[in-house]
Amino acid sequence: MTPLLEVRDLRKSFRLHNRGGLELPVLGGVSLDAFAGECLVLAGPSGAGKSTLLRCVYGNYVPDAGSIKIADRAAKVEIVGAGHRTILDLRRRTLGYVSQFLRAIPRVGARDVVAEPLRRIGWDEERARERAGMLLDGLGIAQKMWDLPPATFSGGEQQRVNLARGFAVEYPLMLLDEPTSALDADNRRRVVALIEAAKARGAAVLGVFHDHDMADAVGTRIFNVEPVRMAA
Amino acid sequence: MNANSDEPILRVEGLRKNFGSRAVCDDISFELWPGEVLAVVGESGAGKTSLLKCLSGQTPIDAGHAHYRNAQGREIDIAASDETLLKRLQRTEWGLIHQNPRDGLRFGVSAGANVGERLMALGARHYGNIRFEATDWLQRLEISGDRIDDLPSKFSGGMQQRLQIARNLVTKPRLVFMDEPTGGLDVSVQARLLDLLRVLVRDLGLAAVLVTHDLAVARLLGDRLLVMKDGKAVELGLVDQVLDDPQTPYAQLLVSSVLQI
Amino acid sequence: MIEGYNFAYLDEQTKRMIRRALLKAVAIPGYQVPFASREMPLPYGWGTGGIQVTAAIVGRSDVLKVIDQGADDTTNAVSIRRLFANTTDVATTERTEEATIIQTRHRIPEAALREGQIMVFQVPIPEPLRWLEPREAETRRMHAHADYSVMHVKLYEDVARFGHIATGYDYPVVVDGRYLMKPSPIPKFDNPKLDRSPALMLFGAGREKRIYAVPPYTAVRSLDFEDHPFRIEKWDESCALCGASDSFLDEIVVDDSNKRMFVCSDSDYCQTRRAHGHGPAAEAKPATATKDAAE
Repeated sequence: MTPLLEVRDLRKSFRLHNRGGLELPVLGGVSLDAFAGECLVLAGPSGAGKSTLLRCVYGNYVPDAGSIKIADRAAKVEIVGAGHRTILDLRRRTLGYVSQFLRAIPRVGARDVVAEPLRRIGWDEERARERAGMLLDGLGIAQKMWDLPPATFSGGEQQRVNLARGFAVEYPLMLLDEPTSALDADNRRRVVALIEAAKARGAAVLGVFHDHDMADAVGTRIFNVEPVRMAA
Repeated sequence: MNANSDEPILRVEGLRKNFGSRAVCDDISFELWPGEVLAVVGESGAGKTSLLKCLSGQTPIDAGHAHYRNAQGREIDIAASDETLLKRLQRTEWGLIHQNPRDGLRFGVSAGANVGERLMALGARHYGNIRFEATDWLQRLEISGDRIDDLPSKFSGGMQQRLQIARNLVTKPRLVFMDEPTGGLDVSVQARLLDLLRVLVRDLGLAAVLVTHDLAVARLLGDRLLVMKDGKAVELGLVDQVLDDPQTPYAQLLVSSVLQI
Repeated sequence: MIEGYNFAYLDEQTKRMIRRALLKAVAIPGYQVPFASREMPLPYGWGTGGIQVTAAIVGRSDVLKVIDQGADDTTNAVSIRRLFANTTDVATTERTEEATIIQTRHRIPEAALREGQIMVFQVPIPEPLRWLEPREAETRRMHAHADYSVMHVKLYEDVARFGHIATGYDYPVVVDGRYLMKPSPIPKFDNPKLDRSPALMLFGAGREKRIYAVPPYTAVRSLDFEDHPFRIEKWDESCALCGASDSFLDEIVVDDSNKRMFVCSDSDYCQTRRAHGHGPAAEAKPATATKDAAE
């Protein structure tokens, strides 16, 4: 079985030019595979680079070295050093990413925020909004809130809108970065159902979760991200 | 979306613009594809607006090339084109949105005439159709149709800016140049304009070069970010990548200098 | 002929300079050619541009007609005709068909023009784009790029405001499919007479120092909209003197009780018709008023 995601010897450090070129190594040669239908839980102490790893895979951070290959249709696409169009195209169709915080757009109602990724892959407005409503409903966002801009919502509500948006398109590869940090137990159960459904349709899920219950509920495997030792 | 989206709509190579002996744009190169928004950021005097003026044919390019691929798929070097061709592109395939609505609108004639002018420049000669299209575009920019015969001077600043956008988009340009389109507007007015621009850019599949000093605007509207300093392109990448993981000293300084966005 | 003046008042070098401008104007129909306009013994606004053009082209065998608002007998027309009579000794006439040169302010004669005739128009403001663009450099650039959408903007504003194209005089035209041109303040009624006319049309603006031309048989199209097409004025009345229903009519108040009548603006046309036995249309017009005004 070929992995949907292949990470090899991934290295990433941050060079702070405005602090005298201070170099902060974060990932010191990470290799992992993620397969269809599984949820790989990234574990490790705070600062170990779990988020950094996800962001490198999403093309948000620029790795120093190594390889990240993503199965896209019949091909395997290298992310490291890829052109922006390759990354944007993967993000449209293949790569989903849900962070802790919703980046709300002024004036846009919750349902349209959720529908937007679907519109980008060519869904018509009506169909996209219908699916968006279904997802919001599934995450317990009351219908009367759907047309309101989420900027005014509570942290937990925003997080659920963010999840609905992230799961709107059925991406083959989902990256989750503490997406449930502000949710109560009931709502976390709803997210578990969402992730299970993604696994069931054959998606690979790569997740960082702040609580063990969540990790235990959805995780298939655990991958330990080892902190890099600072060079003397 | 665009039929020939496999080719860049704009290919800039080593573009240089001098101001006296000083280069205000120095060796700028990038490619822009159909449907993409390139945000150009940097502080005042970095050369952002000069770059925009060069690309949109408002000022001559001193060295290098800027190849525009027209609707027929033919590449035109903006640096080597005569004024007649550039003017024609400006009123057909390009849109140009100025920071100050006074530079982009005719204040002596009604809102409808402002929007209709580009249609008429393209040969529209049916008054009823021109008026119908103008009304439609005013409404798309959230200006009530019954304001069609009002002079722009009776509009608020935000409305004037929306009118300027309607005037540009009515002829469905392929490439839009925007110079600080939200500059000088109140924050709440900005938000509305940004949202409208975002939706229009997506729905029309526009390619755009957007000059702004506001990184939040760049993040909201841009696909890619070009960071300029002293006339040079110091960093170019995906908007979120440059803002979240800037590589160069200047980009790091710029990103760390703004309040959390 | 008055002693001490050059033929047709202007010196020969000035006339040559104007002729060079005229040749260029004829070669580029509708294009405004700058020329070194001279001070004339009349104030600006009295037709100094037209007078200079006429002075440059008039020859000893020419027959000159001068009209103002269609009439040969108004002060302006009489003064200009007298200027040329005094400085050239050429024959003058009031008859359109006899004239070889017709200098005009604000009208084109009703009688059809023929080959060999030259119309000379007095032009106050030659630039059709001036109303929207005050900068000369910019209007010249717009002409160079045939960027005339602003003119349609003006027509659009007319329709939006009044429900129809309200421009009645100096109605903009495109000459030979290229240059936008102001036909001088003639009523739009006369615009169709410019189109493919067998006569040469010369336009002179003295204060603005511009000359332009429409050569014989050149297409002259009045701008319009498909759903608001160009139309000329129409009157319910016919001429109270000659009964003409196809000419441009002036409305005249004839007494203190506000009684009005309509008569041909082209006095020669009216007189010629009456000489041929035409009179007021049978059903028309208070007879007394007609009689008085005819005196």
